Amino acid sequence: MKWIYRAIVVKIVLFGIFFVPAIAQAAILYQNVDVSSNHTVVGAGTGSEFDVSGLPSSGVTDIWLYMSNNGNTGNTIFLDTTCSDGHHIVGFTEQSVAGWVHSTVAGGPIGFSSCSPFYIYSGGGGNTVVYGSGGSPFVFATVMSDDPTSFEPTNFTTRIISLSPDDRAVISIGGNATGTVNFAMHAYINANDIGKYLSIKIHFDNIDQNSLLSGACAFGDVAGLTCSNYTFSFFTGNATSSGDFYFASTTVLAQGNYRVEASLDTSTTFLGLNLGFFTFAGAISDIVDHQFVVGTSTFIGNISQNIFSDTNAFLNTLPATTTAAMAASCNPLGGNFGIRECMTFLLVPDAGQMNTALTAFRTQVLIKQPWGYLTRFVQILSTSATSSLPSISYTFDPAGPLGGDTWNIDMNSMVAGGGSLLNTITDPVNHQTIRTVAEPIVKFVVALMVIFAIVMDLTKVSHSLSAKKREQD
Amino acid sequence: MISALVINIIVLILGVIFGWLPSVTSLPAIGGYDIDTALVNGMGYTRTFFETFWPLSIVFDGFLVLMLYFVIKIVIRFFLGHRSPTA
Repeated sequence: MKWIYRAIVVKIVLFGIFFVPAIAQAAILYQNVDVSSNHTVVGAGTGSEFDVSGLPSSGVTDIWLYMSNNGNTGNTIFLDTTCSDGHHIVGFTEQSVAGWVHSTVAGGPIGFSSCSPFYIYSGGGGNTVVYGSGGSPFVFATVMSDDPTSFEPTNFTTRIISLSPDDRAVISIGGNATGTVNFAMHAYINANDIGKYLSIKIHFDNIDQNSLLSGACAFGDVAGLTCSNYTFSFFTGNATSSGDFYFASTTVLAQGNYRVEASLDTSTTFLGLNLGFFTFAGAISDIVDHQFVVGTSTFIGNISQNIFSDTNAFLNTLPATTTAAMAASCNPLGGNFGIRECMTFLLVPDAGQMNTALTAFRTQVLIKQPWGYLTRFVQILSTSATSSLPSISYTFDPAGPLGGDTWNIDMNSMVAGGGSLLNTITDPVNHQTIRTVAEPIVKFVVALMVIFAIVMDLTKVSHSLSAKKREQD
Repeated sequence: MISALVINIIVLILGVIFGWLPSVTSLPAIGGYDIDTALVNGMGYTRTFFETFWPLSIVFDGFLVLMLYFVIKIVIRFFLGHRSPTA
């Protein structure tokens, strides 16, 4: 009986350790959406022509565009669209830089209601469409109605800004068996996240599995980047700079249903990133999933696509548990009654509530004496701040063989030299560095050892072994 | 809403119970030696070293995770006593 009780309690504890934080982690994802800001991201898109939603229907006097690489020095860049209140062409003369460009709308204020589509083109060379052309020059545009430079970097959070192909896009291949698909991603790294462990990836699947994806790397081999199992890792390591991150490539795909996922995770440490729920390291994650069809969709692919969309739509409602709309779902006399939404509203705390509770727990309980010393100790241990190593200087005894010599040992140079040796050695076949080859193995082994130690402790195996050894002694 | 309310009430009660205790912002100096500054500097040096020799960083993070597990175990034992599955 005691064992049954113990097993139940162990399962509850494991549930608490693994499942509940996993949900909390999922909820944290939505903190990256900057909906609380007074500044409005009014559109971002991909393709030579694109649609944006959420645009102000009136009162727009200024427009900002983020130009990743316009490559058209000397030519004005135009944003061109037809809306319900007319045809708008907004020119940007600050065209020679990659970055935010601003224009005051002539004859404004104007509205952007029911505009479709948007074009961005260069004024030189016969109004060449430069946006999303996949090569150079190309432009990834984020259209904003507020000055983005005024709130960077504190409010412009680390996140994925755009991903293409668009969700539910149908890519025409004109009756052919295969077609060329353009992949593009625009991510932004906030300056506050410099020094944190960062991972940016794109992963895609042929979800109806009606065609075998050829080759290990969907986007071809790119020097210095790793690609395996249809996951393309752009960067994994400590973030050293902030700003925009762009990716654009094409690949040939057979017709069918596909899913592409861009993920961006940051944490103070590697294990904080991978086991964020253990360390409460505050990993910031942003994941964007798009599903698209190349040519003709399949029955199985459509089912998979719909299940995935419905599940995501439900998960997206979880953070909004405190909104009036969710509260209305509990009113049996109201038109929005839904038992699933109501239960979610009642039982699932949203990320904001959890953050408030955790912050209060830290500031009101965890920092109190005497356990506050342990909290402070853990806080110091988990910091990601670095310090320059000290230099050591030694002067020898004037009477000795090195009489009066002074040796200066620069620890920073020594470590950098050793690291350079360690991280530049490559294998002779694939020319990958030791880190690229060995890091996943080291991570796996360490994670396995930690899990093994925890399981050993939970199951009392280590205690039994100790008792058996004592008996033998 | 209900779970958030329960969590907030628990935090509120704990805050009221322990509110009178002094807060810890830094580790104390022992015999004139500032342990807090020494540890902060030491971890800074260690992190600098880890940035270059990355395998050590992974091992250290694994150690931290294991330590966190033992802290959780101590907390569970504190609240559940002999009924704790880890007692």
